[in-house]
Amino acid sequence: MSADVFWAIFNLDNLTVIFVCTLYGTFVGAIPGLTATMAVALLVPFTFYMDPIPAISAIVATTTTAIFAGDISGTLLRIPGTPASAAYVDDAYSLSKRGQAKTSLFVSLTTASIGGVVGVAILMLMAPQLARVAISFSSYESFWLASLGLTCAVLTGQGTVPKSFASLFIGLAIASVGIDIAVGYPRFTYGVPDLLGGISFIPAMIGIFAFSEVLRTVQSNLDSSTASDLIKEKVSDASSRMIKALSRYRRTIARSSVLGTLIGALPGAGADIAAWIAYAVARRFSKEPDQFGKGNLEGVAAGGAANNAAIAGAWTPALVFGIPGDSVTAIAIGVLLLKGLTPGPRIFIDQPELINTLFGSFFLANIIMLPMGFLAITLSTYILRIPRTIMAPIILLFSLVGAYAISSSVVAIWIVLALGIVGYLMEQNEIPLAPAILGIVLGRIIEDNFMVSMIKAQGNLLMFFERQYSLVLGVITLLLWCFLLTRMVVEISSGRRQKKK
Amino acid sequence: MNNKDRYCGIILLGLGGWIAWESSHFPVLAGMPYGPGLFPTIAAFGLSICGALILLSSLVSTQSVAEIEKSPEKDNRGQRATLNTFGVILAVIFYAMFLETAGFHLVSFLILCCLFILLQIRLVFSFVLATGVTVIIHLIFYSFLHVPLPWGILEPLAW
Amino acid sequence: MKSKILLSLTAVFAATLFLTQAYAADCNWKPTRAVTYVVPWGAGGGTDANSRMLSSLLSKKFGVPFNVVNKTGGNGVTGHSALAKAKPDGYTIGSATVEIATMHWVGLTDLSYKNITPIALVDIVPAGVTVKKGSQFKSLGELLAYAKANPGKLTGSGTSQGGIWHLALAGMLQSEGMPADAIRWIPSKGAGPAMKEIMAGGVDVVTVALSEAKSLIEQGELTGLAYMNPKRMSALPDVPTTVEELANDWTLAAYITVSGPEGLPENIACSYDAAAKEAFATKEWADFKASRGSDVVYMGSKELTEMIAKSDVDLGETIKGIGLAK
Repeated sequence: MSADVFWAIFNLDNLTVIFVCTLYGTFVGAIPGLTATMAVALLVPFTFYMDPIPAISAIVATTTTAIFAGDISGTLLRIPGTPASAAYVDDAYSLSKRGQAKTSLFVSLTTASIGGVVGVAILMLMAPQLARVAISFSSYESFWLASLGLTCAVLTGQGTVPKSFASLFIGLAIASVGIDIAVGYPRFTYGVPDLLGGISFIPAMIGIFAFSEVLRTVQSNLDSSTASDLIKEKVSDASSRMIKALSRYRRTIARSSVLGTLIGALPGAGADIAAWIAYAVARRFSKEPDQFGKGNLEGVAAGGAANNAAIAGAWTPALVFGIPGDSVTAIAIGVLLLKGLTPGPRIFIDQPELINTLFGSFFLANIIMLPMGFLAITLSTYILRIPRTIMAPIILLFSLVGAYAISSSVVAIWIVLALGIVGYLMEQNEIPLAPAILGIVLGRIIEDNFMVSMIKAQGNLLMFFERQYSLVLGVITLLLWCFLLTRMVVEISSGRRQKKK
Repeated sequence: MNNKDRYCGIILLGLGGWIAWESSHFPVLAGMPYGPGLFPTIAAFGLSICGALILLSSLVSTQSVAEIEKSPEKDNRGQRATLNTFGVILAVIFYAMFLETAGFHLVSFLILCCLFILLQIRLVFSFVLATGVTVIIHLIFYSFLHVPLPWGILEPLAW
Repeated sequence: MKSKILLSLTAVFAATLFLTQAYAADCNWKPTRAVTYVVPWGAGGGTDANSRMLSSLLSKKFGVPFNVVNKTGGNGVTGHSALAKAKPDGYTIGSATVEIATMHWVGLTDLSYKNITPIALVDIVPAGVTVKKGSQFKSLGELLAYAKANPGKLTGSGTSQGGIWHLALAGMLQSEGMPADAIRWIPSKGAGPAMKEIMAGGVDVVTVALSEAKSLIEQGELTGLAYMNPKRMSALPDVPTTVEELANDWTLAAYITVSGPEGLPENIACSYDAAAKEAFATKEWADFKASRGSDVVYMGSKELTEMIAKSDVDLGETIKGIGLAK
């Protein structure tokens, strides 16, 4: 690394920007309903007046911390900040209920930072090669990848196989609301223009998780004396537990970080799919798979590392070809263009300092996130000290405003209500919530890519296996389906009940 | 517990049937036997099959159900819980109906007050708390994050 | 950093002063609180970028926040209807795009340009014809000749079924005397996914705006065959136009406008018109447009309304011609 690059990264402007943006990202990410995309979009006017490096640093720092901060509300209130955090929200929340909120959050934070650093390292070493693979993904491959993500959600589901599948199909049914891609026919919209775009996952997630949790809270015995003992978790205890977890699960963390980066680089819903697949793989290789979903730190570590690694991965096609992997990188490309920098293979050759500075800022953002995150965790866990009778209405209002904020539409509030009741009923019937969320997030991606593929192939299903990567992904997915079916038959024939409770 | 599974299965079956029926009226692609209805139909069949399986397994396991201990249901919830549940649901309905006409500030303050009082927090404290939270949300969302919150009838006071 | 903030504050102040002097008579309406700026398309796209840049300039000028809200979905219907039905008090404006002139023809909605108040033209981008590098087609003529000989064998993409880039392709084929589906349309969720498809070899040709494909063309990953414009564009001077390449004069461009709800009072509309005109004259705007490979354009409320009305008729003809009208 040359001196120029070094000074470009460690110059005061850049450091200030990263510092301020980690604060900002933590803040926005921790509020239910506000997304990393929204945080970045709000930054755009400020980047107009910044130099290119601080401008990109600002975006990077905001996204990484916002994705991590989604874990804060997920752990403390069971409102995952992003669909990526939904994979392990049950683990994190169970830990929090057991009085280990800080431990869980410290693990989230450190693994997020590790995942981010690994992601950038991979990006530095092999971004152009990785981008070549990513760019060869057409609708066939994207379809299989998203299907694989869904399958992982069912695999890791807490309930029986039929109930996990039921949850998934509820999610898919909800995802089919809105105009379809093939002919633009409005399905289940009943003349409401705001439903034409489908049910967006933010109000859905707020409803299914937050609202149903509020309902449960106001129904439970509201005597809050028991809660206060649980929150007196000492920072030192939490830190030592975190360090133990990090060394114990180092393989899981390393595997999830690499996996997260690779999946994040592929087009589609990068970070979300990454977290679920990493979680499923971690469970598969774990010594205690039964503990997953019931407060296992390994799950938190796997998902936490994977989703932040995926953030870095998502930059691959954006930097190498100027093709955005998600809306955050789409905004970032716009900012780069505005600064007179055209992303593409040539940027690596013509402006290596710029690329190196960018990677340096990535590292720095992930490092600065650590102290900021520790501060945010320590402060936010005070929320647990507030009696639940006071917290419940406040959470409710924040959720409603958060849902409204996404598109300034009252329809979002109705969605929160309706899906909140659905989520509540699902929990009452021991149907896991997580597959439904992923179904809502991925349903559209799967359907769009499936229909596009079908139109391209003119109905010939064999075309789904004609291409190299689609063959591999397709076969893996089909094998997993067979496995699930076998498990289901076994479950039913033995009349086995789930072990939960 | 077993009964609950039975109802759950029946509801899922019904839901699946309804979605499938609705989807069968969607148009199809030119020259192809499927269209926008394909995906909802797949979801519907999935739901129905799952519903049937849940129903089936609940019936199959009846023979051995005697020994499955009944999980300690929270029967002590009582009226209070029902009241609270409906209070929360009504609050959200009220919020959705009057947010844009009456404005964010009024409606937020009102539902917070009502819910606090419902949850047996002292009256004065409820008012103070509701005012405080409304102001904080205004500052965070409207002032800092530039989310356009509706002013409603307070529009003359808007800034 | 600090000095920059100070500088921009001074600029805001100066601009405010200048404004009060310049527009005294009719067009002196000013927002006194935050304005909502509705964008019917997602964050990260072209409309979003233009809108965010413009709203930041407007905000600087008027000294109140202009809050961009992305109301996406329904191929543009959701956002456009939110804009059209908003209270016409000047506190909700937004971007209406070319879809306002197509959506009602394909039966997505009843909404048309008569339900909005056009204020000023923001951007106008001609459709392009782009293939992957190493494609067997070296010119538009070769591509069309192949499509004519092998109808339905090639595939094209760019946006939804009946979306503007679909009309570009189908309309061009039709004007060349071919069936509109001689190149089969593969719907996509917008220009971004279509670019991924062509890079992955999933489709043969995309007809998105050439500005969307500009950087990939410059890097040699894609080849621009033509754009559907009367004259060549400064951003990509080597790419010919359809007028040069084809016998008939087929052209098609998409546009982005800043518009208000239906029934926006004249004085508010012309105040915004003046403000937009001023914003477009700034260096920031010029730099921004140059970075995206498009030219600075301006068209005031009256001219713009006429232009949309004309495009509504023209696009209606095209849509009926290719059999997508409902």
